[in-house]
Amino acid sequence: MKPIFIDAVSVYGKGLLSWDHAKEVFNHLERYDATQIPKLDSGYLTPNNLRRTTHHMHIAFQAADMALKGSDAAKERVEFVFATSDVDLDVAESNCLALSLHDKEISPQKFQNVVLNAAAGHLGVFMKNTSGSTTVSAQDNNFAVGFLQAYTFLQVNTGPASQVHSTPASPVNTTPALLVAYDAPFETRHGPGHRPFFCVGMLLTANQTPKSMMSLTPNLVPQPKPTALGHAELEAIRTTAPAAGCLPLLMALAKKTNDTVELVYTEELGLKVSLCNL
Amino acid sequence: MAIEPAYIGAYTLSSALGFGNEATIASLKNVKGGLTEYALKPSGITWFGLAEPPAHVQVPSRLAEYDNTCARLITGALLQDKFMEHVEAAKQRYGKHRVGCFIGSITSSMCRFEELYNEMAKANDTTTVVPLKYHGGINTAVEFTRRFLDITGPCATLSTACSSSAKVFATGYRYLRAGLCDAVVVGGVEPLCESLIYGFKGLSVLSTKPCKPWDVERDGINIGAAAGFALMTLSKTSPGDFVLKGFGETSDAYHMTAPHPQGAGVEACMRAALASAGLSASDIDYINAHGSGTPMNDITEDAAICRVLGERVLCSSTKGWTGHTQGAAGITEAIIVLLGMRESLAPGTLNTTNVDPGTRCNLVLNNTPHNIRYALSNSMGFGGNNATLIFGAPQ
Repeated sequence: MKPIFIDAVSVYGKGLLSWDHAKEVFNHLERYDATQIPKLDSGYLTPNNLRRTTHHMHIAFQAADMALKGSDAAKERVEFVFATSDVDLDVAESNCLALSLHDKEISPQKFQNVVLNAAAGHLGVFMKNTSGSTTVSAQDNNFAVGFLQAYTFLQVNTGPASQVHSTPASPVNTTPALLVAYDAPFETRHGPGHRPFFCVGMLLTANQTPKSMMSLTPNLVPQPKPTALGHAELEAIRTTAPAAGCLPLLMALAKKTNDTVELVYTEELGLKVSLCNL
Repeated sequence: MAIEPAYIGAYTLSSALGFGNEATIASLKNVKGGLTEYALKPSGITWFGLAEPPAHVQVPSRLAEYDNTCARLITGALLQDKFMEHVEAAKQRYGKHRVGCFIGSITSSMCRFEELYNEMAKANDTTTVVPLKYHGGINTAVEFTRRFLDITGPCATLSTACSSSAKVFATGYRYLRAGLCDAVVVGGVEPLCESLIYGFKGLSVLSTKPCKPWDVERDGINIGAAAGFALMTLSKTSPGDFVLKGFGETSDAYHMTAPHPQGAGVEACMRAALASAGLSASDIDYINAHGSGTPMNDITEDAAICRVLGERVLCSSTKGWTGHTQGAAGITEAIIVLLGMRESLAPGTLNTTNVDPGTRCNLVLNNTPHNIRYALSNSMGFGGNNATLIFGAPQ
């Protein structure tokens, strides 16, 4: 497999206030403090946008915005790859409760916000992004599945099919991909339990750029053996927040040493990612 | 630069037109649409494209925990057209770990989530916990499908609203090209789900009559249920294989639910698909429009089609036959295109009689014998999410 490159990272989770802060924590695990809650301060979280969207989406907006700010990519010209374990179950529950009532009235806002691509859809409108946008789900393994989705987008040049802003003659796709994997806890009594919120954003490219931090080369392998974190609290987040499946990769990125980590892709497959300094 | 094509060696569609390709083409040829009246609560009606598998179809006991309307629809669909035999052949040839699975859906098994809530509300039950892994989770359709077929290659649910199962072709293509699998099952699944019916009612775009795309009196959509699957490879498996010639994926960047008023996003998408196919407008013989039947969609898509492909190419919307099958619409219409190629038939735009004079594309009202070498299919969804597919006849 050929490598791709990572230009920027954002992270939003308990005790992980920003990518710069997360790097500090990952290099000095004793500094991890789960009581520290990051702020949602994306410019896209205006009062009007907040009213129209849900917390499940807000953390995705935050991670997307921060990852883009750390890169040189134009926000109007990046491919969106969003990954989340499920639709906003609070909205789904609200809609189901409405359907169980006599008049079966579902509000238009709740209807548009129950689709899985609601976060990517709203953000695409906010950013005026006309590139392609794909939202994937893989239940507990959404980061690994989203990462591979972004990888195939970058590595397979389909001409102008999905990259109206790319260079057609390039052997790879010259449009960068913005990967956002996100999960929020749901209050619904029928949801997956008390899942911690977690969100990660990555600006990925097919070609090395001046901003490239490391190269990443994925490979699917049989029988997943995920890399453990060696820190009980972070390991608990990794195993309970699907988007936090990326934590071994983030930790290796923070240490900036050549390394290979393994993430769970499916019950049968692991995703090994080899990181290499440039 | 045109892409290298992919080959479609097997495909099957189950919708309101019937289960399997032969039932589908028979309904088309006999002008027997699939929409039936559907009573809304507390009052009113709409029309719905029901897709109920035959009564004898049962979810296999080894997958009993997944049993619900969605899983039964998938089971009924996968049993048609020797699709499983083709998948078995691919497994034999490449190994089951080299066969991927990408399914587009908006609701997946949300229908069971709705049923359980309804049952719990009636019983005043506040304690039951719904096992999302099997019922209601967006990923259940792909998990059930790949377990049913016993394939273990890369997989995902794609959920980009009504473009979901058009985009699975693009995703499947990339996984093949990246060498992550050697064959890929792509599909779309959308069972009857009240959230969709009453959600679109809330948006005031649910028609009380059979939908009439492009008609001057069109007033909205009908929902339909469907499941469709295709098996795609990079090498030809038989002389009769259809070809995925090109595709485009864009976003409107305009509004969460309304299309761009000039159709700019779908225009860019069609242009991208043509370029990736290495074709020009004059190569396209038939267009299967998204054609949802809403006043805004049809007028903007018509304008975009005319700018990209002119006013010559035969064009129709088949949503009057099947209803708008939502996350399954992309593959529903893709397979209708393939069947049209096979039968040299441009399907008519059922229910439409009085074409909006504000539109200009060459709309086919009635089934028309027509040799189709290359056909283009549009899908557009919430979030301004567009996908265009271009298929080629066997070469």
